[in-house]
Amino acid sequence: MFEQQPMKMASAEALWETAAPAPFSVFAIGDVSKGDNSVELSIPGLLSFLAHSNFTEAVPGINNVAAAEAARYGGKPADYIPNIFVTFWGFRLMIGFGMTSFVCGAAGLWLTRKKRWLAPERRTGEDEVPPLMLTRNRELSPFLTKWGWRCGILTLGFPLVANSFGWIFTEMGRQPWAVYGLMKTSSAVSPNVSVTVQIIALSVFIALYTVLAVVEVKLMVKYAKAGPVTSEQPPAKDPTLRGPDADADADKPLAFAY
Amino acid sequence: MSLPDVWFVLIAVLWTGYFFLEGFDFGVGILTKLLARNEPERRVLINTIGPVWDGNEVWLLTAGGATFAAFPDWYATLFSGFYFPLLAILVCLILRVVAFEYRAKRDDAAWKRNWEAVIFWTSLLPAFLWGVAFANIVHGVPIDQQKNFTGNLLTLLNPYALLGGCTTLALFTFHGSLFTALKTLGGIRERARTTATWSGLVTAVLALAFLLWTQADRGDNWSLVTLLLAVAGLLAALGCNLGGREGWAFICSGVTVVAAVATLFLALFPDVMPSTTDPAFSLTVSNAASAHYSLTIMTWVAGFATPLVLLYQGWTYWVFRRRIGVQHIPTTAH
Repeated sequence: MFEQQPMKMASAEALWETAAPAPFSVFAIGDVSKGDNSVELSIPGLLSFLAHSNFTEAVPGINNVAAAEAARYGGKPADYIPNIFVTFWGFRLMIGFGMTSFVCGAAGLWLTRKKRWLAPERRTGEDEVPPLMLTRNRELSPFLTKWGWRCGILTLGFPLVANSFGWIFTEMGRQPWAVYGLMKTSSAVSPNVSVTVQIIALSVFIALYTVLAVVEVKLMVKYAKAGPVTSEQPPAKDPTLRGPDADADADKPLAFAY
Repeated sequence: MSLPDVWFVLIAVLWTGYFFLEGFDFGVGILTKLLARNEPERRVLINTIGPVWDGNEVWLLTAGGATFAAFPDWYATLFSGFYFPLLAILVCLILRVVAFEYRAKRDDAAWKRNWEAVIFWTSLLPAFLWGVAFANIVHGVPIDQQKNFTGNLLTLLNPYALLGGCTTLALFTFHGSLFTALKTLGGIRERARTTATWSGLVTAVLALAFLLWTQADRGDNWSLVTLLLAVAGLLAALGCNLGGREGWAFICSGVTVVAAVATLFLALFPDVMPSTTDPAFSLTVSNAASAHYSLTIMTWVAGFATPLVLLYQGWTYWVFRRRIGVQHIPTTAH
């Protein structure tokens, strides 16, 4: 990313000045968009490593990239700086929500295991709900078990949230370019589509997706509460196969119908 | 044949495939109100296209994507110029998709009725709007020297375009009736044939008027050939339907769709969006095309991907080849 879009990398980290080695900021307090952040926690050299695979090489900073772009494409350096607050926190929220999902998933995979790394008497069958097993013999306390399952439900939307913040970060971090170095967003805008038209279109989509989200979530809740259909049986034979009994199956209802 | 010409043909093929396939599933969506008499019959209709409508829509995505990549100026002028009609089509397609999926998810009469209304209107509206859009593309719209559309929504709703819209609406209903006759059993199959007859007659009148207007407007010898083929296909489809040859009738209505779309693209060539302001401002195959390098890469990708897509789509139709009747509709909610 630092090669194709150096500004995006610098703005993701709110790295204002070129640094060698460049630190990876885990968390910052203060206004990152002020040009000088009071970073609370950062890992020295990690950004250099992410960019160059070594812990010492320089990573270009926001001010340096902006000055270079202004010199090359014209205008003020400030014209080439995206919204640092959004990019910095968008990147952190993307990674935060994504990693939380990953950790929950990995924990769930371990805790809900049914056969492996379990004492024989603690193993559970195929259609049983497994107890949350920490070690071979040790089960989570009832309180933690309750919250373990709840975490599973509550973090359902996290990958979507992480994804959304990732898109917001990558699109905002690209500004003012639509295509880096070739086309600015301002020249990519359709000249004959007015702001009013765009507001109407955006409102239509927001309304549409809000309604659909409500319907979708309601349906998911309904089906989750109902639980799996246990009476369903696989078909005795594949009705598409032509055999002596194919005609007997010809009027059988569809296993799935819209 | 230069690479931009090849891509013009490929885009025409993608649109033709889209209208052939989604044409009948729009038609079936419209027939849920016109043909089905009760809930199981509506479900029969929906299930004839249930396994295939999403594959059919892929053709639209590839047509749009190919236009974007091969003719960026065409894409830009078209999508910003036809903003509201395309927005309406997009909203319809989004709602139509979820209507198919959600309709049977709750055992509640009002819920099902509402989604059925959505299926009907979101099938009817795009079937009409695509005709409006294509008539405008072929006839041309006001475009200035900077390749920008300078008209408004009312520019697009001219008599020729509205006739185009009615034509596609009737043609897709006809095509859908023949598909229904081919894919169903019992009373609904009989009624689909009746619907095919009258919708075919309406289509014949509208399509003849629209295609002759197109021919007079921008036609050449080649478009005249496809025009005659479209008319022949339509008459043959009507005849086969009356004779109870459902498979042949559907193939013939397919020929009509293909030949009609071919007529439009032949009339359009070598322009991709003519300017009614000044012919010199028209977007053409050469001035709207991408760089040679992009087109070369795309040609390779298309060369490998298209046969694969055709194979798996063909397979879907083969797996779901059997006719469906009310006896196949399960009585439970899902």
